[in-house]
Amino acid sequence: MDSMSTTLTTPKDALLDSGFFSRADVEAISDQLNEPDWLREFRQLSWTVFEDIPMPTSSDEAWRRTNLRKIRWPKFNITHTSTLSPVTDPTTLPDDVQNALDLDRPAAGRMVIVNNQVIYHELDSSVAEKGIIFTDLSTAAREHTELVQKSLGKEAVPPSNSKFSALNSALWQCGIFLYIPKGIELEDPFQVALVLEGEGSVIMPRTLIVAEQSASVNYIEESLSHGSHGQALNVGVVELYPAEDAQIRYVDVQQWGDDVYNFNVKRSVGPNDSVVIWETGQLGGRLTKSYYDSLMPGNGANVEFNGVFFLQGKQHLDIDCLLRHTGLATNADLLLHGALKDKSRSVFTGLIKIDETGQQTNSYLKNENLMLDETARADSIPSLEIDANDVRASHGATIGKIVEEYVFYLMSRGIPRKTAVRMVVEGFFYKVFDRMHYNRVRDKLFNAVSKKIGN
Amino acid sequence: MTETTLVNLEEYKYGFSDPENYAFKAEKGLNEKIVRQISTMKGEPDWMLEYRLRGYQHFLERPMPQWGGRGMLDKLNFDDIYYYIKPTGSDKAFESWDDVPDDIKNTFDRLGIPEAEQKFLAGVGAQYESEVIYHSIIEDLENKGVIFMDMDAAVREHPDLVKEYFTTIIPIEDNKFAALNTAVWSGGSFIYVPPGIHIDLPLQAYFRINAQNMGQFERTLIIVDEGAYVHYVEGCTAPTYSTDSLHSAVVEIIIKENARCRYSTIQNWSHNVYNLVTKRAQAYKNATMEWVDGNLGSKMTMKYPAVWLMEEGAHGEVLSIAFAGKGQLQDAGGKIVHAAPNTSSVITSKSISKGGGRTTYRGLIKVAPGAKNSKSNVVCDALVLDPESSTDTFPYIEVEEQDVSIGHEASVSKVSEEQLFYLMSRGIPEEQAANMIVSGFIEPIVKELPMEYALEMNRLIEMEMEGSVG
Repeated sequence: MDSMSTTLTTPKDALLDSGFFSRADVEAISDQLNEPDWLREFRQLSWTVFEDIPMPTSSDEAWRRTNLRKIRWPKFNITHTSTLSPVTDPTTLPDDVQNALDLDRPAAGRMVIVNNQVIYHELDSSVAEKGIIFTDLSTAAREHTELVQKSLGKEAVPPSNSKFSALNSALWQCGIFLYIPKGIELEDPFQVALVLEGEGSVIMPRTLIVAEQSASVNYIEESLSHGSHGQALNVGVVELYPAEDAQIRYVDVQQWGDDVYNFNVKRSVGPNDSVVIWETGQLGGRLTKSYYDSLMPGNGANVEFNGVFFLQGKQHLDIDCLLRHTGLATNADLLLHGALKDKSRSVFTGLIKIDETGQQTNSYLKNENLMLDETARADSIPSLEIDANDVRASHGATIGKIVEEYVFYLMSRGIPRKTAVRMVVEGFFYKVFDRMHYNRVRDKLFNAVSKKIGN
Repeated sequence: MTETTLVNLEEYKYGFSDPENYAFKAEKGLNEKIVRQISTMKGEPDWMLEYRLRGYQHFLERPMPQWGGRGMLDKLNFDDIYYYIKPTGSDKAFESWDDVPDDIKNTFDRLGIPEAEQKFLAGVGAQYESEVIYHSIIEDLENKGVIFMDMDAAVREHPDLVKEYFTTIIPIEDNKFAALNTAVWSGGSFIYVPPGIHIDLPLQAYFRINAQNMGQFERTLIIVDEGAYVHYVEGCTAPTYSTDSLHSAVVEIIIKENARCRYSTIQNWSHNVYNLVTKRAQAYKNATMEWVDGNLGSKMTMKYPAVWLMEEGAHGEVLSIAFAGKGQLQDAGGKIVHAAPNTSSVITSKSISKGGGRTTYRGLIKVAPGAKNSKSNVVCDALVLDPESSTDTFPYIEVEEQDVSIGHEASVSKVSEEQLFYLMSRGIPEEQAANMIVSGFIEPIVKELPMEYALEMNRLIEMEMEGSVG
């Protein structure tokens, strides 16, 4: 698109004008997936919303520190298909994808999505018998219409939430629908691999998890790039809907390749006595802007967030967390530890918002950053907005380098300096790992961090 | 306690006003003619007029801030404000207290100034309206070479010194309100402390707004030369008026090698004043800057005293107290920029909101590349006294250096039931117990104030606390 043709009166929308998708694609997707009318309408509405919302710029507070101007949008291709074809035996998948599925450990179900296609899906029959639904979202939209229609794009992430959520709502092709009936508690997780493959590839996954009353479910998602590819794009939306007294644990291990632009809106809505646990490891990607928002409208709703990130090279990571306490006596506890090497940059914005009705809230948020190189940059903006008085809300943020005393102590025990430094950095992350539920996730994050520390 | 006494206590204590009596009052609103008129009235050099016009131009061009008390800011009508008022008699210099007109004296009497002066004032620059009309400098200070005068006089008497530093700390185009101040400033203090001079007693100035719809635009410039020390105290009280008034000051401070400056403020404007102030200090090698900032009054305050740590070993501190009652917004905090290695800073903020008031801590810690071994610690505590009130914390931390140690923590709570219960079990009535807890909460900052200010601060908080329990 020629920039000269842009008039001064209409603000430029680089994403809308990029030409790698258009309104025609919205209908084409609906036709191709044979979608029910309500879903067609939802996509059409989402597209209109997408057109209406201006492209975020650095003058928007939430985007002040994350610059989108250098992204060459026209280079993406929404119809890019994968060289990986659907399989029925997971051991025939490439090693990196197999690795993401943790085949050697038990799982209730598994799914692999590459670009815009599901290439592997399994659901344990004993799990299916319990009435649990674990399928790709477009199948669910046809076969479990009521369940999907009730939640998709509702309180958690309506299309109007943001530019990128509207884009995902209009153009998602693959997604995950996970439904747990009343009272069912499952320890084994559902494991999903999201894969990008090929130059200019695009993935727009949509995840919808619904847990009925007193149910409990665990979900682990790993994102990765298969083979080396050039610039690629992820625009994801995650919606978590636990019912009363239900629990959802959502784990994501983000290991996108070096040249992936990664945008996510992940939100949960917690009714009375519900529990939402977010666990995340942010390791890959060129540029990430991800929201992890937890709404707690219900009385006694709980949220826990355990996150780590490790950045190197020119990686840019912008994490935005909201803990919104609207119900009575809600609890939240958020911990995010990150390390930065080379010329990487992190931005953390964490807001505890307590509404007038949120009396007896107990909320805590902490972000610690470890600077491993002089050229790295970390911004931390933990905020509080409190409209109630009978509450306990606090937050903390630190930015610092490796504590030399620790290194010295270890060296005095005969440990070489390099090893000592490594141990101190690993120890820094262990404060978060210790709060994570699955060994497989801890091991994966530990190995990734360990590799990134280097020599 | 009866309702009547409660009402009286909630009334603004210094909410009296003297009959207006002015030699010159510019028209309401602002245009280039008024800016030129102000400059002509003051007989300023050309360069100052140029600064004013540049400021005016930028004020017009710069959009309103889109953050902070945005809703309240949008209601501010710049056309409904007097930008310059000159009281009668201010042409004369008052050599002694006896020459000061009675009604003005009366005002000071009720503010308690003369006694304070007798006790331990080093000098008084009392600002009545936009012009400093009474100014006494203790001979001793003059002999040491200290300059302490109103800003207008400094422009006349020490033009070179003023020109060297004026707008170098806060550029004319820094923000909308600093630009406005540059355009229409009047009064304020100018202080120069020569190398090695240690002024033991705090220098003080009382400010007071006294005309309906009148703006107050002081401009203060403090230069603390190598190895010198000064403590400047600024206190504000203003009568209550029915329409909104604007107070938009600019304070610039330079602290040279090994010098130290402390600047204390108790801001207690009446509850209809917009208080939009820019305060910034630059601290050079091994210098120390301390801001002690108490915000009690005004309809809304947006004020973030800043310290730029320019050279090695510089240290900056901000101690901030905010109290927001009914209809008030206190958007306060502090900013520290670590621009050199081995610099350190501390921000301590305590805020209390009550009766529907809102307090906001807004702060910035910035570490520039190369500012190795920077250390900074920020602690913010907020107390919310009732369900109608609210509080926000927005600390921005930006670090572009590895070798640093930056910490921030904030907490929000209510008056602890346990503490209240303990005190009441000792026979202390609930209201008094709550008062004691609040006093204890702000104590770390109040103790940094000179005695009489600490007393006034405590008294004011007590008054604000009346009827907050039960």
